[in-house]
Amino acid sequence: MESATNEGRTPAWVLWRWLAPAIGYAVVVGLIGITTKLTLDHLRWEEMFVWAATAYAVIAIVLVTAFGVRLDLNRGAIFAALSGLFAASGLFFLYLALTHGDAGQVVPITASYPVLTAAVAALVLAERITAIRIVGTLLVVAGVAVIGTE
Amino acid sequence: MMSWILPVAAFILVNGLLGITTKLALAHITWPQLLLWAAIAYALISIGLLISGIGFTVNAGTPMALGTGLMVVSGFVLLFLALQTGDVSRVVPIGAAYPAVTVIAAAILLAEPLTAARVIGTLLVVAGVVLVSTEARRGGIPGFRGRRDTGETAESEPTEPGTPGEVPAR
Repeated sequence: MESATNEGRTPAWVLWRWLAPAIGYAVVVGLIGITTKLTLDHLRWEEMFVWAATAYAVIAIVLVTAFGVRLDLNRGAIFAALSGLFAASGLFFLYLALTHGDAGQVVPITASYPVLTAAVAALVLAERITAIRIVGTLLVVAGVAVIGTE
Repeated sequence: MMSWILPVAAFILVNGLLGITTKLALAHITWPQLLLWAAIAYALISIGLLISGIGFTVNAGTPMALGTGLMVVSGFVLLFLALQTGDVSRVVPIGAAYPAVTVIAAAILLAEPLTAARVIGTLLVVAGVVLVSTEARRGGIPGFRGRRDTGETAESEPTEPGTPGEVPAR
């Protein structure tokens, strides 16, 4: 309700402040599978990974030098380091999968990972398991089964 | 057994856990700091790969490999930019549509078959992820609070916990 009320007086440029990057995210991430497949015609996935690390290094240097971002070694650092490890491993496995499978199969199935997140969150963080989450999980499982058994 | 199934399963596992650790990390640090940690992890694994003697080729695929890497980082940044000003419940459904982009682009650019199974399966996955993700996000993600388009930004302002399963710091 509140959202609808506010939306009525929202200037278009404000709406686009989040809508543009959200659409950009879907397009950019959606195309990663495509450019990966095209690149794998020329390079091995291990080499691709090193180039991805290079891109990360470039962005990291920009963040540090231009924006003054610094690492805080607090409680979050351990989880951040783990996140970095999981993120890098994720790309590692994505590249590996795309060397063998079609992008149109691999990417939609990999997109199902939030279901695992929700399940682990319920176990570890005591988040609620609701009927909507269960329905969503069943939809994802059905979708994965349809694509996987093609 | 399809040879891509195991790495796909491993991807789902690590990215599923990534949502949890990201949530816990963002309670204490900002997303640019998280990106720095990801860069460190990437660098370490790359050093390991190079030491193991993978060799390094510079050829026609090199620019696209670097471009793909930049897309990976850009996706991370774009999502966080969207979450800084937009409601999670509105950003997530749009972001979760990326597999549809892949399936369509794969048919156009890679001449992969656009089968009924892929279309239906993708729609089911996207719909399911939207349900699982948005329903859990009434409270938002630590570090962000959507301002429902009022024009305000919210940086590093903790809110009630949600499950940041859609925040992959690839």
